[in-house]
Amino acid sequence: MSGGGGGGGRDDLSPGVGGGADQCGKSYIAPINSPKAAVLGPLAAGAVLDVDVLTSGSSSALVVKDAAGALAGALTFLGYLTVINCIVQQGIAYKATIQTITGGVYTVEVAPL
Amino acid sequence: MQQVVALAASQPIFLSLPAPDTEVMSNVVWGRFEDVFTPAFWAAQAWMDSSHTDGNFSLGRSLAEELVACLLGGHGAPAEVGLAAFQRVATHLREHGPTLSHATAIDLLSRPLAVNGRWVRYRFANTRARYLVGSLQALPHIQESELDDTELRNRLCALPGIGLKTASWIVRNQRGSDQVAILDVHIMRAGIMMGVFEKGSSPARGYLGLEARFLTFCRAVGVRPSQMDAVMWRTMRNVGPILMGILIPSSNSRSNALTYSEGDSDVGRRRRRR
Repeated sequence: MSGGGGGGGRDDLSPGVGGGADQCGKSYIAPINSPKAAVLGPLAAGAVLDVDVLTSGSSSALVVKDAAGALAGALTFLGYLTVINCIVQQGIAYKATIQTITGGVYTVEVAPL
Repeated sequence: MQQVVALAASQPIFLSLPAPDTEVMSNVVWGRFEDVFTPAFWAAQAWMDSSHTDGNFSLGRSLAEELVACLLGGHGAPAEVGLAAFQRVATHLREHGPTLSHATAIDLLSRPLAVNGRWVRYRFANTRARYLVGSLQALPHIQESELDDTELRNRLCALPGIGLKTASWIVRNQRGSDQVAILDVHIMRAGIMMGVFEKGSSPARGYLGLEARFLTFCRAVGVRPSQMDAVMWRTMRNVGPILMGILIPSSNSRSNALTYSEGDSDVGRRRRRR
């Protein structure tokens, strides 16, 4: 039994009981969505991008930027809201390091600093 | 057209979604999948999620255990506490038979529970004990195999302490049902942010109409309602108050404006007094 989608407190608004504190310590492997070729083109594996939350009106997106602050694309992996939460709620900074570039797909490791 | 890329077994996989300004249902547009809480966001997240593709949502081993899990996991109980209380009661039922005396139920729910290394108390032990006893006594009179999902949901609503939300939760978990929706605070918030539900909507007023909107939305984005519910619940539960405040500027994310306690009038009164 995992709880999960089965739930175990459907209206639960609490931060949880114990555990969960290391959510912001996790790293993720994910592709960059909506990649900006002009920004990513010059970069190779090993290049490091900034991870930021872009808020516009009532919407937020998790984005990656190059060293000059140019938008390189978005991160939309399953559960990426956890990273947004860690940035917004706890002020934790993340970096995205390019792992592979295959067929125009840039895969990055997203990890806290 | 929008193209989402994700990784499956380290290989890129792709999903095409309609353009952001395309209507997914009346007066609701898809939005950008990169933006949290748009219909496209939920469609993409559900597409990436494979945790419930087998349709298994069960918390218990039987309808009775599912009833216990959902009744104890209802309003006012943190998820982990509800699950711990359920485990204790389910273990007792497996060892001693399918019904509880009121004294036993109170004893089971009153003793502190070990949750993630801490001892915590289950709130509303007396009220929930009464509901448990009454519901477990009445449950054998429901012939589950003769009922479809909505019929079973409606019959469960007649049991003590069980309203449409809890009954829907039981049916979804027990059957992996896509015919019902569990309109808790998290699903309501997600629905309101997308515009699937109107601002100010409350399941306490018109549950079935909101449920129909939710099911229509899920079908429009091509996701099973049971799967969408699981993804939404898990995602929304983890949205912190600061982020919620940004996304819903007029809201107080800790308020109970979107919660309601079906049938659990004692709990409701106690919360309202605060």
